[in-house]
Amino acid sequence: KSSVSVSRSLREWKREKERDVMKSNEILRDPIDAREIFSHIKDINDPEHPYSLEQLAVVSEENVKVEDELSRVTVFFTPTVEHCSMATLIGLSIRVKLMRVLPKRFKVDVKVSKGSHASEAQVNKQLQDKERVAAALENGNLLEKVELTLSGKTAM
Amino acid sequence: NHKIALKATLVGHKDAVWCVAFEPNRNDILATCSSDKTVKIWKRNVVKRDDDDDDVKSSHQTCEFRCVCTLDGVHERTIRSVSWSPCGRYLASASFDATVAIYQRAEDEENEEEDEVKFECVAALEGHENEVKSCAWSPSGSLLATCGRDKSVWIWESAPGNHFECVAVLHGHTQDVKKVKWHETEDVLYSASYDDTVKTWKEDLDGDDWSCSGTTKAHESTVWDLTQEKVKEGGRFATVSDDGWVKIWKAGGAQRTEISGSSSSSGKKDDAAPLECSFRSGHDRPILCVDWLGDANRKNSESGNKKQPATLAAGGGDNSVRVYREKETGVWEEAAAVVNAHEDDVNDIAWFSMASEKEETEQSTNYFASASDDGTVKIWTFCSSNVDE
Repeated sequence: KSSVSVSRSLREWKREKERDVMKSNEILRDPIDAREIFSHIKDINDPEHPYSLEQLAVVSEENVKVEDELSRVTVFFTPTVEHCSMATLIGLSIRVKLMRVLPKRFKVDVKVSKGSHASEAQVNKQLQDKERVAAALENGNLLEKVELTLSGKTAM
Repeated sequence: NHKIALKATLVGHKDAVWCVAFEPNRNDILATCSSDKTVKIWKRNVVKRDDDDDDVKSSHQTCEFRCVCTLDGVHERTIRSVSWSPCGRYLASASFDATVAIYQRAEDEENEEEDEVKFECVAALEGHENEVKSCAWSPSGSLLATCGRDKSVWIWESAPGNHFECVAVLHGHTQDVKKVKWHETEDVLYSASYDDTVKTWKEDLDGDDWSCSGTTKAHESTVWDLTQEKVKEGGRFATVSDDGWVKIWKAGGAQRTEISGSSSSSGKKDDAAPLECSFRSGHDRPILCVDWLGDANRKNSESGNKKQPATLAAGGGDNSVRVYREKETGVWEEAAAVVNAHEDDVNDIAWFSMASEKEETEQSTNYFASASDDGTVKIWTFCSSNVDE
């Protein structure tokens, strides 16, 4: 465990150095790739099952699209069943997680994979609606469920 | 030949700013509201100068605004929208906490000089089931419209003693209603929704009921905002959407002001909306706000210059602000844009007028403000050549 934290702090130190160099070049960018995005979301728990989204193959590195230059991230997730009633909650959890860890420059889109959900268009529209997302994150009950999935627990 | 330039950045809100509204009669005072659960009133700074030549003190207004009042402790959640009454004495705020608050401005002309603007919350309107997303005062000042997540539009009538009575709860939208806007001069209401439509609401001839007089499926996705051309008897409309399109809708005379020509329930066979034109915007994320430049806000319009073409300002989820102009009827083009106007989504945009120091005959300068998720409000000028290339 200690070696992990050492290597992490080493990495952070390196990053900081890199940042300093970039700052001097006036390019303040910390490039991000699909692997890094995936590492942030893979351990989110399924709302109903005691498994992570990675274990249930709801998310995968292949289904993360990153356009670093444009600061755009799109995560496609695949609900376990076509009529999954938890699809919006899963999507919201992924969005919240990425909002918290990514630099502010990023625009994040979270969508269900094409053809993987019976109400694909509705779920996507809801997750894309910034006003609904903002309101959802002020809803105590909902936020509590999101927090549970983010901390690796089931929410139901 | 057209240029947008940043003039000032208003910093003070601690979270996303959702709405910016100028005091209708003054334009040197503006109200903003935020996810930080406050409404802020900002006033333009005036710089007093001593003119040595003739010993006369002159003053001029700058583009700098400073916060002169913060209204907090009223709402428990994000405040999504603020609206001034036409007289400027009242302010309404709509919140995700399901309520609408009414503030009255303290009558204290003496303090005006001290740059104090005081408001007191005098009423709370309860009735919406959940998030209220927009509020708007009617041109007569007697009615207030609100709308929200519960798919309904409410119309409130103000009565003496700061009482507000609900006179209509309007159902018809099948999804949350994002925005309500009144006709420029009449008590005709328009609502834009997540259900991709715009609805027109009118009071019946006998004057005791409101009903939907037109529905237009305006876009392929959520209609985030609409704005009316500011001409006598009501002009055309512009709508903007999640789908990335701007659409211009025809409006006839005063009696034919609904965006849609008819609704299926009206019995008319023609359900086609009088769409004038539509164009794909430069925004590559949802377009969240739009405002039509009004004559009152058009600099130099009184000085006998050639009338400016119709002009729209829009902002969106791609952090940009863009100004569009009508080249000829039905043909619009992007006149200028600032790609990274803000560090986050641009939620609202509003033109305002301001006396500029120097008159330039070949150019006109218009001012607008933009409000963003980055917590700031920015003041911009749009300088345009009046001589078309």
